[in-house]
Amino acid sequence: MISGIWTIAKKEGLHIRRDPRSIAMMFLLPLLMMMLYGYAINMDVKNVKIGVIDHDWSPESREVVSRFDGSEFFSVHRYYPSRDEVRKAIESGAIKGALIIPADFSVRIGRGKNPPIQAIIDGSDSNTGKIMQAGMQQILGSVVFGAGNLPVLFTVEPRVWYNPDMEGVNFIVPGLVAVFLMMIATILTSITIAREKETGTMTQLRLSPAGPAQIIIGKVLPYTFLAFMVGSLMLVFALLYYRVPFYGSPWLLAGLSIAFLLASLSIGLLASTVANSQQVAMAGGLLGTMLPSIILSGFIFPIRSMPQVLQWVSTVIPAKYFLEIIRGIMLKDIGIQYLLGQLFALLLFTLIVLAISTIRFRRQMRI
Amino acid sequence: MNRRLLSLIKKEFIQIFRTKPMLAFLFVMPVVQTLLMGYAVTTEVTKVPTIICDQDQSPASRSLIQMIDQTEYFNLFDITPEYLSIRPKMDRGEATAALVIPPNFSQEIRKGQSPVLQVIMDGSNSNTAMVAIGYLQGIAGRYGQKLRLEFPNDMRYYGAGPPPTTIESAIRVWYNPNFVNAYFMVPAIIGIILAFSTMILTAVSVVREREVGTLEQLMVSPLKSYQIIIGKLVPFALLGFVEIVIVLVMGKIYFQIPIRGSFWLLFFASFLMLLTTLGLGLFVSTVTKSQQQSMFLAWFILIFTILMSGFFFPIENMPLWLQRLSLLDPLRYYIACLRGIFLKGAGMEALLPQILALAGYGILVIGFSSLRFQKRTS
Repeated sequence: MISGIWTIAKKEGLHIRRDPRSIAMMFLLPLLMMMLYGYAINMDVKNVKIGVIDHDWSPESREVVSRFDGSEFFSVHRYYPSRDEVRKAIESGAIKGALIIPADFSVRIGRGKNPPIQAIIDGSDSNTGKIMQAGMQQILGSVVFGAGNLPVLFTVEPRVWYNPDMEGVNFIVPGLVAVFLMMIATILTSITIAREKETGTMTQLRLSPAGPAQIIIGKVLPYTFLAFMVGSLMLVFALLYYRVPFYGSPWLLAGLSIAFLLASLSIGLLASTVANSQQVAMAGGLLGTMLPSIILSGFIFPIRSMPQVLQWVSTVIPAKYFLEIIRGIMLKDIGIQYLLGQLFALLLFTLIVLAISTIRFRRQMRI
Repeated sequence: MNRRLLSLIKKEFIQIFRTKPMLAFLFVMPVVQTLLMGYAVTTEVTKVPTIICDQDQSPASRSLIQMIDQTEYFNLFDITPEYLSIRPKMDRGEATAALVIPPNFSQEIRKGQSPVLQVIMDGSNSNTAMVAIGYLQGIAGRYGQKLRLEFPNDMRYYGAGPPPTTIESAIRVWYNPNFVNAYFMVPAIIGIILAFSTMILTAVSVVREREVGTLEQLMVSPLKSYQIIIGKLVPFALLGFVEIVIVLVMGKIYFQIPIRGSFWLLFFASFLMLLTTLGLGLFVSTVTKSQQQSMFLAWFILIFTILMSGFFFPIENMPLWLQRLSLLDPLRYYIACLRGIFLKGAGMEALLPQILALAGYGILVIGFSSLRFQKRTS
């Protein structure tokens, strides 16, 4: 049993070594991607460009504009003479909103009346739009002309745990490791069996004394090792380049990451047994993992904001569990007792997917 | 000559439609992805699991809690006076935020002092943390207004002196007044799907023919090499258009997204984008030797085009060097066109820079990779 697995694993290792360009890509591309996207992925809405139409041009109107320019939400891009110009600028995407100050703005303040201001928001980006709306309300609501003592105010004093400076990189970079690892693992194994079918070596496998389960396990092993190396390299890069903190236990992370890798590799293997050609296997495997692992894993988009159906779907995405593991260990220093659920989910997933692959594979071996 | 080219195109189509998984890939994928991205891609912060640590337990603290509970932003799953119960729940990830109402909260209000509320936030998701803190600040501010409304005669809540002048703001939201997330995401999905299917398929299918050896057969046929390129690319271009139509129909009928601009401009921009994606696919096939290599390279290019395009994350948020790098991303221009045409009804005039960039990019990429392909085949 063991020797059968070992032989298959050795043979698969030879296959891997025969394509050094693929190995180089597998190690270099993820590093390059880590370098780019740790900073590229930034959800903060800051310094949104807005335009201003100031019909009044008074110290009071300039005060309002400078409040906007001074806030972290907005930056005043330029002044526009008319609404038409503003419309064009918003259509072309040069600005995302505008303030329109009427001609009698300062006159009304002088009379002690509340002056109006019209604000325009480009709502097409709904998320930015909502945050702009809140920012505008906050700024316009806080501008006060004239004297008067302050009423009772309720203030909030935030205290941020685990990531006190709220560095986005500390959240994104461990996530990148999980998401890229899942995709790489799938590409790696998706071709293994499809290649045998395409090149006609399935017959040789059929004649070998190893059974289907042994072949499947033997094929997964070398890739587990390979993917583990890629993952470690990405992690070291994250620590050195982004200086992401690592508060928890590296051994715990290493152990749990093997469960995650097995789960991801088994997806590729399943794609490989379903498809008849490498092209279909890879396209299917990548399609099945790329977008779900980015979108449904909680990598960036909060799962609890999704419709219920998609929340259910997210429970079969291995990256979801590994994200909780890697972020928990690195940022929160939590121990195994909090991560048993995730470990169990990953092992169960691996077991089910490998079982389906083996059954399918056994059927294909018989023909 | 045309007959030969036509028969090559026919052969390619037969090859594409021969495998059932490929059909699923081409036609089911756009539908699934549109649904997925229309619903799931939202960075909105809602239902943040929150612990309230109420150390005051007074009518004042309860009315503040009620006010927080009424918003959709927080899910108050635990209200407790125990400060120490916060840590393990945050560690486990059950709670993301905790609001601590101090024991002297109502007392300070009675004295006309301004009480301070402590908020503990799990900062590991920095975006959620920042937005949630902002929401809580907003609610705390509104709570003061509420007290003034409820007790109009209690001067403590007002301060002394004449009422100050404040601005009456009228905020208008254009194009998407209800902030529907799908309006923003679904048009852009066309770009993602186009890049995804046409580039990967072109790259892998050419490499495959080389691996299996059928590319040599094509080369010894009387077809000229530019005809081979056209024959390889036209079927994928047509399939690309079919996928555009699928997403368009879904967006219009299922998500009821308005299409305010011109269809012709949309198809023109798509044609230019196809030149680029097909060209990139061809390019990948000329620099890789095995299907796995081409898949890796195509994957890398794909992730770059998607993440740098402004599809998920606004380009303005990136550091300057990455913003400059994103100018290299063709999908950036295409997505700007798609969103502009769909939601804003933007015309040629507003989108001219994007269209020019797409055209330049497309001609450059397809020209360059065709040359490379010809050189390698001859």
